[in-house]
Amino acid sequence: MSSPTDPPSKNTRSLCYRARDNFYKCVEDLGIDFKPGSPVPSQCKVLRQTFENSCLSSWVEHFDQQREAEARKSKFLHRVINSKKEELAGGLTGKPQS
Amino acid sequence: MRLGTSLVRFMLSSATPSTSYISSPQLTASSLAFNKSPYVQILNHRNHIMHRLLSSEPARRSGGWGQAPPLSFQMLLVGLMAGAGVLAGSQVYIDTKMQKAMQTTQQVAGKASVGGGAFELVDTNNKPFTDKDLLGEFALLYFGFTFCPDICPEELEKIAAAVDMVEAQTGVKIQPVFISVDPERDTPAKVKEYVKEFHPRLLGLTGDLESIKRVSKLYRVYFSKTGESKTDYLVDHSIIHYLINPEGEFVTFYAKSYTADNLATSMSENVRKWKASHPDYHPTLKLT
Repeated sequence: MSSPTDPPSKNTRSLCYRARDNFYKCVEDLGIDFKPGSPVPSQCKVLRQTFENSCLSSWVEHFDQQREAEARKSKFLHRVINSKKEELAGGLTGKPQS
Repeated sequence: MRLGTSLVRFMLSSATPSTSYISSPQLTASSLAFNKSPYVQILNHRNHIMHRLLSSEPARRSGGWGQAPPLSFQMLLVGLMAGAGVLAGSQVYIDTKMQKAMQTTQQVAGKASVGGGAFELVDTNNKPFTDKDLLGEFALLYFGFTFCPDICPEELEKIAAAVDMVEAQTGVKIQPVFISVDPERDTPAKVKEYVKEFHPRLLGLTGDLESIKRVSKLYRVYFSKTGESKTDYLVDHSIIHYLINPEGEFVTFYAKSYTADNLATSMSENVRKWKASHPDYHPTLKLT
């Protein structure tokens, strides 16, 4: 979206949020970690275009970065949880403990 | 002293179990040797000591006991009471000191460190608006910008809900205020369109960069443009709501984590406290 001189109204904001959510759901369903600047999967290309048309470029960038940070956080948490699980599982299966 | 000793004696005697109370099978089984049983012997010894302590006769040597202890029971009691008195006294002293210290910090926080200062901005009708225009009622300040993607709309919706809840709970209308930290783009006209979508009473204030810098400094608000574009950029800023009392003093702040409910509860509480200490404030209002 080219930068208008008027701030986005409540309606414009809702349209932007919806387009954003549609696009992110698309890449999530494909199991892809969409990073800012990475190529858009072909199935989601149209949704990406709608997203970029409904929201200001600064907003698109902001949401992409936010999304990436959230994905990183949840991956980190998963890693921690899984490693804890393995530690505990080791103890329960009677493996020799140091 | 006489009264004291007899009182102590009474207390001790009532604390001493009488031998008829003892009904333990082991003891009754050896009833023939009862009077010489260890238990009774110990009791007798104890009574003997107490008698010696409480009597005003000088200490006498008797088999195996040696001299009477130098400390009499009265002295011990007096000592304990004096000790307790000292402890209580010091506790009261510490409490008052702490209270004074806390009051001073609160006063400093209210007057010197955040808010409570003069600012000059412009309202959505292009009329000058200063801190004095907020006096007389509580105000909730939020710093943001109209081109904000998600946070400002969320926070402003929260404020709108909270302010309505406070009105429902106390009958008092808190003044919500939006101050723009984007002087380059946010003109009074644009801010007018922006704020009316959140709440009819939401006040929108703008100003030139210098005025905005000054009011931000007052409230320790951080703000900074991000990105290189001249027209399409975001403004990074602290996400905090500031509650000001009817005398223009800073009361407290609320972080993003506060829900509308939490906000309303806290603000209503502040309204009640203010009413309790300021009888002229909404004199006809009856607050529960």
